[in-house]
Amino acid sequence: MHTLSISYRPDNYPDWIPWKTFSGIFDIIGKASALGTGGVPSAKPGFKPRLSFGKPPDACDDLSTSRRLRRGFNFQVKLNGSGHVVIERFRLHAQRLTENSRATKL
Amino acid sequence: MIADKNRIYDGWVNLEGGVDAGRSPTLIDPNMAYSGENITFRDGRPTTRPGWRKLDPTFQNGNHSFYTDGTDAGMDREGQNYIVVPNNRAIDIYASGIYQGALCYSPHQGEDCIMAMIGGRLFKIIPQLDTCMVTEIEPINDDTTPFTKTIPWPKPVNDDFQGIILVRGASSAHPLSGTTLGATTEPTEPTHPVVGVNSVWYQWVGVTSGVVQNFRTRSDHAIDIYLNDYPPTLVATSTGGLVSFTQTFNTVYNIRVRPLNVPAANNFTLAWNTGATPPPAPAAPAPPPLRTVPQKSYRNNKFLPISYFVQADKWLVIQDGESKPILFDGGTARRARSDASDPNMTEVPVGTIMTYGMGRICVVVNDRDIAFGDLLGSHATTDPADSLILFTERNFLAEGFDAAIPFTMGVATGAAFFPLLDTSTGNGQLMVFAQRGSTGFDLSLDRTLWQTGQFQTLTLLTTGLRGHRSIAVVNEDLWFRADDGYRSYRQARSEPSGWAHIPLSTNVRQFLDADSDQMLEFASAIYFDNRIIGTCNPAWNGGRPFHNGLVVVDFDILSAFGTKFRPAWDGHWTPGNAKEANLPTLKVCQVLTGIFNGVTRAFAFCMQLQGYTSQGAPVFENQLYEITIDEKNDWDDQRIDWELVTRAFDFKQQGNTPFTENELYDGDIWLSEIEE
Repeated sequence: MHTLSISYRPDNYPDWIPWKTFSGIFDIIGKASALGTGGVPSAKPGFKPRLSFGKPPDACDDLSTSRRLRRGFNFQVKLNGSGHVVIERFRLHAQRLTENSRATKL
Repeated sequence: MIADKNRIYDGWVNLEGGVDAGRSPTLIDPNMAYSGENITFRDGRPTTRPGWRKLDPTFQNGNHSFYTDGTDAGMDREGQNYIVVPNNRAIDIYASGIYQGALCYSPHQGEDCIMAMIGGRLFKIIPQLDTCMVTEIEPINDDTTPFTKTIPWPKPVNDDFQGIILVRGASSAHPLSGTTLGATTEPTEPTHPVVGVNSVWYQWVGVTSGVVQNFRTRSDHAIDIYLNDYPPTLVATSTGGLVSFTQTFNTVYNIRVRPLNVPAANNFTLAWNTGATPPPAPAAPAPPPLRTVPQKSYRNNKFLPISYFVQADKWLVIQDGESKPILFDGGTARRARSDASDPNMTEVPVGTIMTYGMGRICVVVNDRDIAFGDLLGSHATTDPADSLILFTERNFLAEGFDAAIPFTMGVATGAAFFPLLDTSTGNGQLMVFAQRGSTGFDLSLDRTLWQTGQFQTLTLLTTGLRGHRSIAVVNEDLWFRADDGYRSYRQARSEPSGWAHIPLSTNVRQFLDADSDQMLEFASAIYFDNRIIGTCNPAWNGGRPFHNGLVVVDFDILSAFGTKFRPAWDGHWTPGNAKEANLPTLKVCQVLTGIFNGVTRAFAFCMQLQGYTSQGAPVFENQLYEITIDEKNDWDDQRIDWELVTRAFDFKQQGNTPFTENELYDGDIWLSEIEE
């Protein structure tokens, strides 16, 4: 069964935060053992355009900064999969926030 | 256009640039990934790497075995008794022996094959689709005097202080037998009166007070008496084999017996008594004979972790640095001759790294010297190739000595003929790499000019090569493993602008930086399907070196008219899905490539974790795998696990807009070519 797990981390956060896991929702088109005209296998490679991850869960940084981990200045994404796929495109959405003029004093 | 006007998204749409972990993840190119596991970026799209195929062995003489003294006892010999020695059959050795090395071999007659040394024995492997046909090459004839090998003495049980032997009583009823043969010096050995070499330890407790106690052994040994404290207090010593001291009741004395010098190490007897008359001097036993065993005619040392191969015309030459070289012509195998009474019959010398070019076999001998063999066709032999294995011309350089690499470069670590396009032969210099640099030898010069011409030149300073099997020739370039990653010799010579000689693998440094320098000797790399595939993450298990992964660089992206892109690092490949503590249970010993019936194929000799002993030690089994070009899954239809880590997005808009704080909102991915 094909699986795909996405996790992310904001800024230089040391851990990966689980975002979304897909399991068994994409596969080849047709049956693997089915034969068509002339005994040629009729199954075709599958595809999945614009598979959306949805909004990440509201995890909190309990380690250090106590901020919401969805907030950050940059985000790194880790994709873990099982099974043969081609990643054609990928994009990440965010909502721009209004920053305070100065960083929080420590 | 996205309906939600509050969303912003990065303009990044693909990842054709490969892996780059050499810089900050926020600064790398938008089309590069930060890390990849089991991913290839060929065609500009991240894709699961090609699958591996498992080649189960089918044995031609799998039950073939030997007596332990080397006598053939196999079923393949007519007229001899059929006796199978357990765990000594070809099938057992192929599975569980220490993998030492392999080479793809194209004989003059017969099929292209892989020749492998496993457990000191030579196997011929003909790869097919999902199986391989395995034959152990035997016998390996030796028609000159066989080697004998000196076996080191085992350490005495009381060599270290931890193994001290307790002796009791005022006097010994019979002298106690002991030995200093095989004994060693401990790091914490007392330094007074001297540091003991080959010393052993006894402990004795005083039986009364104020009385003289004597200990006596052979006269070429010394006895030191210490109190049982630290640092040890010396009570008495004697260099003549007899020591006397006044004992104290119930005091523990530690007794060190040591030879006066290393050659004096021997068996001894130790006697002790109380009073003014010491025990009589023991009779000096005869010096023990050296323990030697004859070199087995059918195999090399089965405990060595590496062996060395070269194909020179029809000959396959196999070395391990100890045994006489094995010469295989595709049909039979024999040892190289080394007849001192007939210099014209002297064949390939015992050595390590070898290469063949410009009609000569070149052998690294004594770690730092290079012996050059005779020229192809230079003797009146039936087959011109029969001249190749002769080494009668070792007196043409340096007044009868072999060539030597500069001492400051360290020991030789690799050898290869560098391609040179502007010569009629296409062969450039012989490059002999060392730990810190390399030396070139111009073998196109006539041998009479070797002494006076520019035969030897220094070609690289400071940067050396690790692992003679890591050299991969890519067109006119030459890549190799260095202690700081993968480097290229051609890059050093042809880069006119900027820094010239740099490691080329900083993009995947997270997979290479932790590699142990001591283990790089076992690195290997191949050029296959327009990729360089090299081993990394070496480790050691019970005398068997292996690698937990591969690093891969893809040159295919260069192949486009009108554009000039740099190669892309595919990142890290680990074969198989079974993992333990995040490490693959399939360990790579060596990668190799060759042409089989006109088809270029690549293979990996691996160790597959089979389970654990009752003591918890892992049990591995050797297994051959093929690295395919286009298989979608690994063997047995296993799906390939993969991982891709992107660069860090800062959602910076076009122009000079500075980055701002954002809230992660969503992500989209487009997938294609989803296979079963």
